[in-house]
Amino acid sequence: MRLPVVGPSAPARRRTVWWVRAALGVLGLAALGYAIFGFLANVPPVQLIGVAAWLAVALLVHDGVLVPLTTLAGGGLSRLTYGLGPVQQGIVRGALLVGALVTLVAAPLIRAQQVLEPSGPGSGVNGTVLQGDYALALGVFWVVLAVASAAVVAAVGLYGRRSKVRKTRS
Amino acid sequence: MEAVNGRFSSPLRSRRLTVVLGRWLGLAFTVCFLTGLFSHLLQDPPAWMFFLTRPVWLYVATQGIHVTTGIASIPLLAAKLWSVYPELLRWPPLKSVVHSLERVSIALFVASSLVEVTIGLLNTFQWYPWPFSFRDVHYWLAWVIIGSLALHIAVKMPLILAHWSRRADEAAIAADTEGGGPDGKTVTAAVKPGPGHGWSRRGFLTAITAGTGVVVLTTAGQSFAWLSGLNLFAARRMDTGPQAVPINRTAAQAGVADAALAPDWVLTVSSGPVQKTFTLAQLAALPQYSYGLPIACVEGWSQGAQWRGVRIRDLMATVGAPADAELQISSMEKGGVYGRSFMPAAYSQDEQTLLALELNGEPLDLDHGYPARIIAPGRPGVLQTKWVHKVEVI
Repeated sequence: MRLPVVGPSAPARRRTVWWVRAALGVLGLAALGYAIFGFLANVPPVQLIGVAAWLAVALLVHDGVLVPLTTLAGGGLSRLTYGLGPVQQGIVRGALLVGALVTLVAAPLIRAQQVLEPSGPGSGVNGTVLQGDYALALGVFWVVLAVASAAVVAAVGLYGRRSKVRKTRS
Repeated sequence: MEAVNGRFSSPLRSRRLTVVLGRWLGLAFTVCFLTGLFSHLLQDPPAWMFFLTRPVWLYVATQGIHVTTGIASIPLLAAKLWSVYPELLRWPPLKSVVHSLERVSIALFVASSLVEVTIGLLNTFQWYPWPFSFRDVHYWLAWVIIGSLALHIAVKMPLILAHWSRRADEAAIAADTEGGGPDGKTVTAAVKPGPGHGWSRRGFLTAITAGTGVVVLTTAGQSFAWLSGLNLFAARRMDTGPQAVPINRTAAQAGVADAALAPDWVLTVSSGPVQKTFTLAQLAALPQYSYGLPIACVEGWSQGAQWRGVRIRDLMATVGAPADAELQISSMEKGGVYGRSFMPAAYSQDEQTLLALELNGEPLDLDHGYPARIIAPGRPGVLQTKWVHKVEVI
């Protein structure tokens, strides 16, 4: 005989979920209303246009460029790594994804260094911001990532072949 | 349109994946919101605000967590949005009024999140390539995001609950498949990824976790000393700058060098009609105290240092100021957020709040606020006013 499940009954659970959803919905709308009020009361109209433009461009660049690019890259990768085993393909994909994510965060540093180049002595430029050699660090990171994942891919290949050989022998 | 959508389909995408990523991103955004709100309340305190001066590293922790969590949310946001990308291309785009409202609210949520993490990151570089005030827009977008997050969870809660745990996820998929639900096929495929790519949900999540981990470990060293050895990709380095302390704003940027180096500099201390002036030599003749206090910037970097100078409460006593008085500190820098700061009694009465004359055993460097600057425990760096020339009871 099955014992009854201990805990709130289905209708009680549904009621709780309903109340939680309603509370979150009301709080969310209130926060959004407060934000709109805050923007209108504190940010001049000219700047609001700038904010709207940045929001629109962010959506376009992300949804229209970045994600389609990842899809293209993923498709190309499937063809490039066709000869590899499933585990090896997974390692290549994982390593490239990690590299891409780190590049996403590190690349703006390199761009900022170019843009905020000091403009001569006495310009008051702060020598304690953006002082790292980020391009070199990113390059070294990619090399380490490539070497490490190549080593793992090779090791997996070698291990796979050996175990296959052993299997055919036995 | 469905054909276009098909091109973007991946067996990896599933509701379970979205729920797992959404949990992490929701947590990161909530932490960012709360720590950011705390920082905002410290800088623009409402009447009910209470101030903690201990632990002295309080603001180091909250603002370091704010910036580091914000950086961590960049890979999490990218992965979460990738996982729901086909929703963008669903056809028809608008099914009903409610559906249209939901899509508009999600567009606002996504755009605000993308802009918020971008301008937050660039702000740590002191790079402002946008036509609006960072402070206002970062703050009000945070309210848009936290409101949208609550609303989004409210709308999606049945789906979130159905895929919250692995067991619930499997049950939901089984029910979907039996019922011949519209998504039954794709979702089932997601559970058993095709053997071709060797790329499972777990593999994808491992890569996202690793990417987020690398990004955190290689940037958090600007805020937390025990990670400074791994600091490769942060805008700031610990132990750099004059006297091994980084700078937010140089004397040249503030335009105070001449005034600060003038030999006739005096500090004015006043309480109502009582007013006194001190030369640098007179200040140095008062009892001096030395404390190890961190300076922590709103941009997330921090630095521990040894400060030596006169206690603010001793200075106030010289003009008979009441103990519960709030102070206004004026800099020789004119205008803006750096020109003056207000100091509630919680800080001015603290024994470790100094008008510092020395840093790490030497007279203050000009860029650190020579001849005298404020250093108080647990306050944002922007309120640690430099190049001080007036302390008044208000």
